Amino acid sequence: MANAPRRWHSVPVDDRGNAVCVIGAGSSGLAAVKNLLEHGFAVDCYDRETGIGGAWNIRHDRSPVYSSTHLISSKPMTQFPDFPLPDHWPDYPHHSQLLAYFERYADHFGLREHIWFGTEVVSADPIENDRWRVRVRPSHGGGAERELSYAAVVVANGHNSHPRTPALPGIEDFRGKVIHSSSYKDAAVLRGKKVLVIGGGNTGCDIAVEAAQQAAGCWHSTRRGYWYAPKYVFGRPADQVNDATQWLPLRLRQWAFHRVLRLTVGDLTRFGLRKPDHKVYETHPIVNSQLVYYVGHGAITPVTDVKRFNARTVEFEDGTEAEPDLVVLATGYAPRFEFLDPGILGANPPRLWLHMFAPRHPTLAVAGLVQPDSGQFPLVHWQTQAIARWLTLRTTNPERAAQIWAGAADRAEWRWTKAKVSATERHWFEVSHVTYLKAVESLLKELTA
Amino acid sequence: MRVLRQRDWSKPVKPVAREVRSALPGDDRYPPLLFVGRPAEFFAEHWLDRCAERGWSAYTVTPRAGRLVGVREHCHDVVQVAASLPRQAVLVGHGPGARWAAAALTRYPARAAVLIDPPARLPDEDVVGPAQVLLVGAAGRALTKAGEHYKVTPTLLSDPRRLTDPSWLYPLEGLLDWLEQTIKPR
Repeated sequence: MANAPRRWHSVPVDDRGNAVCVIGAGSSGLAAVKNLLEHGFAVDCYDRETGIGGAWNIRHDRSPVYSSTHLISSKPMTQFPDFPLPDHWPDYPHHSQLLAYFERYADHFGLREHIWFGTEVVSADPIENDRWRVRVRPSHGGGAERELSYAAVVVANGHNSHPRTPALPGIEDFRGKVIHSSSYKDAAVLRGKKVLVIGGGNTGCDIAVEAAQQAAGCWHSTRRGYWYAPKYVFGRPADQVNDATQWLPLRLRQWAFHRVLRLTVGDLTRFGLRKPDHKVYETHPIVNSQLVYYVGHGAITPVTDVKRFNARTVEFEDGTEAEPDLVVLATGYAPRFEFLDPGILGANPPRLWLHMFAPRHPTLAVAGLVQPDSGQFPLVHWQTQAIARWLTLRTTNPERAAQIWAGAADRAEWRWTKAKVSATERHWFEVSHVTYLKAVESLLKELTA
Repeated sequence: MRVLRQRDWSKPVKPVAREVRSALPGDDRYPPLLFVGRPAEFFAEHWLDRCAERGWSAYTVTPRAGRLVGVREHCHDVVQVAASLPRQAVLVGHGPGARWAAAALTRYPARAAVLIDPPARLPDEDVVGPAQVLLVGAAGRALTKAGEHYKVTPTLLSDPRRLTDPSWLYPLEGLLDWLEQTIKPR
């Protein structure tokens, strides 16, 4: 019998009553735990790692950060609204400071005693009365699986842990080394190599800059032209200057920002970069003061999309060729929810009301599945406040809760951007922080009215 | 509850150096107390020492002063220090300190708060977080209004002016008694 497959009903179910299960103890999970506790819920949080911080902990095997990662949004736009980053830290803190900040947040609000470390959630399934059956097991090595039932589940597993790799023709014949940026930790791997960086996002630009400083040569392949916002304009963090103009109409702000970039960064086509095929605010912003500078030094050669790989060379769409020893795929990440049945969140990426609520499951919420044009954590703080208030209202005033829920399914297709953002998978959950926070604020007011 | 804080995002308060004094007991079963106000006001050493004697870590902060300084800067200074403490703090303020502590309560989820002689003008935003508020002061319109604002019954103190006499520990004992009844030790 020892080797017989165990069926779930042979496992004793541990009924956790009104407690809420939070999946993940990174930035979103910690905010969820803190705000649920603040609203009087019992909380069990599970994290597969042995420490907090999720993506921000460089020692975690799924962490996307590298040794030189700094914030690209400045402090006031990045910190939790009720737990400020210290005054004596710089405008754009280093990832190790962010981890220290989350450690302090966890200690300050006494969150650790509610977190089960080294425990991963195998599955979360809806059962009767809108409750959830959650199966957990030790994430490192053997150990028995446990099964518990919860009143609600908050999914906070992050969306930057599963590398997305595009189809690259001929890559299997290529003799050089190919890595995804998720396994890029330190510039040492670039030294003396001829490097091709594929991908124009913030990580791709950071690695291209490090290659310009450390490698023997660097090609940077992007699909399109981008706007490169500097970290500082007029001597102030660029996002703070930008937020001072939020009251202006979008088109005027786009025009003004284009002018500012023209006067500070310059005409990108002079540097051999392509002209952007979109206006600013229409894709996730690239914040990098150094990329254009190193293109100007000739240390980065901008190239177009890859056409095909050969044994030693790479051909690009514009007819040029490169001979890299090392290829870094900075091609981003895809959201993954292995512990949920695919039908629960709907399509991929999930179509959720306010990027939080699954229309058919009122006791399931996702925290942190947004890509704002600002720091992430203020949005997640208000998301988890809304989730806590929503779960509270369901028990204190079920009728009112049902009224609010009535239109959720139709609103799952809504977007929360001002500019028209491309609807690719990567851009699906991009939000404009002002538009999105206004929507969350009105929901919060509805929930407490 | 103010979710959109354009002014704080685009023009953050300038950092300044702050002096924080403290008296710490051997073990801290309770959350730390943060006394907000001018040191001369009423947190002379024996207030802090008395807190430590009774098992409470006590800290003081004096927000910046100056001609162009408003409640936003005072609030920033208090919240910065509160967030730097090891555990979720209890805010205690007296007179002007009560106004600054009240402002900080709209930005920082304090464990509890004690406002002694609260001012007539209170912030127009809600308290964030779980804080229970104790109001102490002389009977009057300001105290009544504060009671309505925080939805609590104020505690009357016969002669709050004597608070400026630092050797008079009577109100401190009272507020520590209240905190010990309100907050479960760890």
